[in-house]
Amino acid sequence: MSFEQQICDQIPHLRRYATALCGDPGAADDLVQDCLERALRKRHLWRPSGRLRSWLFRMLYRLYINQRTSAPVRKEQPRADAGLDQTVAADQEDHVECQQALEALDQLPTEQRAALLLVALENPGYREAARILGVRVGTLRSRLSRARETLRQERDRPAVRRRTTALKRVK
Amino acid sequence: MISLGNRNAKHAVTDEELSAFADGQLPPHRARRVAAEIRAHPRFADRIYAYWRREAALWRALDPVFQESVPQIEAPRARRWPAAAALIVAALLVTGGALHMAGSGPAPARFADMVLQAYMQPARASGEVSGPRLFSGLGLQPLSQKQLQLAGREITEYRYHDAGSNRLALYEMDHHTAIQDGWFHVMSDKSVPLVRWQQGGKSYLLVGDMELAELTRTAMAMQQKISGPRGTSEQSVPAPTGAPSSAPANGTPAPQDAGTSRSSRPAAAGNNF
Repeated sequence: MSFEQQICDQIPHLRRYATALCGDPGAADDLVQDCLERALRKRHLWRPSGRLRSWLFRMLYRLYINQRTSAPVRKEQPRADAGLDQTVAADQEDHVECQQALEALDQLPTEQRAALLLVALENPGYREAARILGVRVGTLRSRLSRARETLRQERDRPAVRRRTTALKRVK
Repeated sequence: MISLGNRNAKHAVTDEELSAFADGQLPPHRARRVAAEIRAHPRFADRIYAYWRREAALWRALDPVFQESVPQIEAPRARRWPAAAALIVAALLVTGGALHMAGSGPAPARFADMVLQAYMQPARASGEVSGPRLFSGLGLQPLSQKQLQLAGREITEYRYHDAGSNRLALYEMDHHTAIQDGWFHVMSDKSVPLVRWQQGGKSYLLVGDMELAELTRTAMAMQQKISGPRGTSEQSVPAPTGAPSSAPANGTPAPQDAGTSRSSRPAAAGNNF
């Protein structure tokens, strides 16, 4: 399988991860496209013996971190589907749980979110995930653990409390 | 209650171990020990179940993104999936390295808009045809060549017909656009697809009444022809002075210009491809 075909195979995976990281489909598509462009430009750096998935995901993650670093003030951009009614799954409970899971991700620091999403969505081994994120395996384990605990505690909190804590006192 | 992050002396299991256990990433001997703790303390199992359930919800929430078909055309966005997909298709055949050259010029989008306007003008053979850029073996029938002045920049337009009588035009500009690289940039959100690239100190933009994939293939073939070994590369061929034999009265170059005898022709002066 050629280099480019292997990249094509990874596009849905990259898109899903980018969407989860960015929280915005448009920004995610831009991020993936930047990643693909860079991958093709840097293809001479890829060793066939290496894992292309790791290489691509590491590139995507670095681009994401760089973009966040260079744009400390987050710009609010209207979503492509702004104003449209959100589709509601037939299984309301399941839909709510999915929404809560996504919202809870926002509570996490970027590094923890990236680690959790990578492992949860792509299921790489810890060594591969650590290589992608550019950290040691111990650091990855720590981030995963803290992220999961945060999500679990967030889920266990009563809904009322979750809503009220969103209100801050302003003097 | 289990202490967060630290080994609990009573249970000898840390949060990190539970998390790694949930992922199946513990070494066997540690996994056996954690499994024993889980059997002894069901709340550990509850926590692992909570991890899995939360991540399963994330999976379900994001699965539609995974299932979406990648090609998706949305005009308002300049950078969409067709561009990325076509970029990969283009790279299948592109072997040239990236070109990193200094220069300043119009933004690519502006360049594209300018030439698109020119392309939409009715095809009108210029009386100044000196010789078309030749691309043998591509089945292109040269129609015309003319110099355009767009936003103060000189752009050369080469028009062709392909074998299916689809018209296409190659635009050549001496200056680089603002983005300096050696990539094929496809623009599918225009009324007709465009492919832009830079090569040998020039910017090229190919426009055509055809599918983006077909246009991209043609652009790649052109790029290869232009960057071919000296002496075999396709060049603009200056018409013999005072001998309009290659340009009939209507300004259309002779069909043999798309032929194969270019190697015997001199390369245009100043062309350093």
